[in-house]
Amino acid sequence: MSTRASLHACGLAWRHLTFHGVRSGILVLSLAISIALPLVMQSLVSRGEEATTSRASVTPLLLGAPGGSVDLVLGALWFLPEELKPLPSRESDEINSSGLATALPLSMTARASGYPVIGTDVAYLDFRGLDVADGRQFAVPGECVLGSRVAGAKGLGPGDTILTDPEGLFDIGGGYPLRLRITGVLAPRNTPDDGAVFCDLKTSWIVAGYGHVHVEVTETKDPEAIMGDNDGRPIASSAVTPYTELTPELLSTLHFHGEPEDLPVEAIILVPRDAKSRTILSGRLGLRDEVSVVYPSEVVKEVLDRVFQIGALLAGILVATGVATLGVVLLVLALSIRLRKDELDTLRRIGAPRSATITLLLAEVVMLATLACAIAFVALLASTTLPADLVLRLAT
Amino acid sequence: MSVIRNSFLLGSLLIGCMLSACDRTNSSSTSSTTEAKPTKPTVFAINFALQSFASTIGGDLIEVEVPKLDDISASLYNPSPEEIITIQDANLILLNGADFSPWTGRSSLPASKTVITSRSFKKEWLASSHDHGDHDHQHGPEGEGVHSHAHYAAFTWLSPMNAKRQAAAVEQALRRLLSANGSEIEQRSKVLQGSFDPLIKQAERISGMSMPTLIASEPQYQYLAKACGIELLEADWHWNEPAPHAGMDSLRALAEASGARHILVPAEPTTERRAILAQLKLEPIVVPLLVDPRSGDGTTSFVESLGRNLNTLEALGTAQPTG
Repeated sequence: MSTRASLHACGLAWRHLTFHGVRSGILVLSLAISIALPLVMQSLVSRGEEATTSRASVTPLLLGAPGGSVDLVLGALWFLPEELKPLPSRESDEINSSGLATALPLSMTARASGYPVIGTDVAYLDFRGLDVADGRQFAVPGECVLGSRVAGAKGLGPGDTILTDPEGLFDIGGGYPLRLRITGVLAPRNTPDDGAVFCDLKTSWIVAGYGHVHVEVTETKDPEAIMGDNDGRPIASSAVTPYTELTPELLSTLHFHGEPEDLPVEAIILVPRDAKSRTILSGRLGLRDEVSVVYPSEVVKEVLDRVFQIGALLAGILVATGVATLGVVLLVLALSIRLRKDELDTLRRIGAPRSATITLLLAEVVMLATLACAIAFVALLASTTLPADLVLRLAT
Repeated sequence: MSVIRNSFLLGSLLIGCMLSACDRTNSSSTSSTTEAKPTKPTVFAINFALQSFASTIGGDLIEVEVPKLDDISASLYNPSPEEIITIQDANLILLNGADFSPWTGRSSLPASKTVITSRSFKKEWLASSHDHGDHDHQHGPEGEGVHSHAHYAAFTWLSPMNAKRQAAAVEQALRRLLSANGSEIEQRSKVLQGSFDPLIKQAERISGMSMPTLIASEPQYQYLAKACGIELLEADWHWNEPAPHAGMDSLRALAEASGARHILVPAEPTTERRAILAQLKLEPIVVPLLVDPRSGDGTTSFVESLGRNLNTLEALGTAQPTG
């Protein structure tokens, strides 16, 4: 059979497929889904494993109050809203003073527009390799930097502000939200840091009500701010802003209730100076009942083992489904050939050789398979835009 | 033609997806690029004592940075957020503690790189005699939640013993920073530590002497007075202000009531101020507070300056008869 004849057969096959567009489309999609699902699943699990393991492996030790180590790791590394018991920030100061490790405290109770507000040491940004792409890092309480995903989703940048979420909708006795001044936006890193707001530990304590500034309603410029007088005490009206902002003037009145070393943090990342320091530190901390020291890589391995057991089961189901789908497609094609018996007879009668008929049918199968593979490839590429730790998030 | 068009569209789509994937790879590798840092570690020192200790112990191994003061005292330094960012970048931040730098409580400094050099003797910090009581307040109309905030005397280094302990804290921090040069740092620190011993003995000697009644212009001599066993009368006169807080008459009354003939001042008085003191029959005794960092080589070291202060005080005293 000549090349020209083969090309004609291919053209005829393509015209047949496009003529029966709906049927061809269904076949292509069925095949594409069967091919894509295991590939996407495998890709997500692999990327999830890599991302999860790499984040855990660069976090040598984690200190928290006694409780669930999985919750501690998921809260401190992925900022998942876990209920973590607090421990005093003194623990962090003492570890820094010992010189055995760099202690990076994390306070994770606050949220702003639904995103976690992470109160921490400014050295956290260096530790995670977070560069400020636009603006500068926070320098004083009341300032914050946004992860790239938060900035993109909210359309915010340096010079803008973001309000912390009130603790409870019906908490009329609760404090005012804090209006954070955004000083910078972090470069994207494709890690959970992209979806968080970072500020100083003191800022988190103010949000939690452990510290405050004094706002004098009598000194406000708004004439509507005071609605009356009660035995010499001014009565503030609803015109007083329902939030607090730490302006440079108010910052001088900032103070905390109690010593800062007694105020709470939920977790402390420990970065030992060397292997010897790590051993000494984990030994010392391991002897104490009031704190819990965990190795994030070990905890993550446990979690991933669990996830992968489910993943393997799911992959098996998907492969079985794929084989079944392939069988159905083959049956459809076989049925199609049976239905096209008259058409194929006509081809033979007008002089088309048997090889041309085979080429025509094979071309159709190859075209359907090629289109299905292309769609599966696009789906696979599209899946890479999903967060690398999606599997972990879904699993938890 | 439709075959070719459809194939072209499909090809474009695939190539576009591949290019976008490549673009993502490039952007993530660019963001991980780090800037080159100077070879010498930088050490930020908040006052003269710590600057001197860091320079003496660290020598040419480090670059010592000090606050940009612009004609204000280091005790009144209040950096802008941009200056705080610069301080954050230092490899080591040496602070005094004891309420010397209130701005640090309102700043985001990396705790792992920050050393409070007076922390080892925190229990010995003295309550400030210069508290005007404007920091106490209450929450609620009935006074529940009344709380006040302790304030400490800040000029700890005027006591030779405290200065020695702060120098030891600087040594410890520098040894961590420059672990490869441990023996060199230890050697220099040993010499520095040894230079405090005569000063500590001199302060003990002064505390055994009979001293004339002394008025302190500044409220900052508390640690010096304690180290030398001197009772100072507080004039509450910040030397950068024209008169004591309670007015010049209060100083006159204090001088007359106590019979004091000497007043400790942190800097040489101007001709005008010297005349005022002469009217009050008070002789100014210059005892510098040794607070502001100094620039340039060849300046007197902190230990020498502290020694001069002690010499000045010793010259005022008379030895107590023994037995």
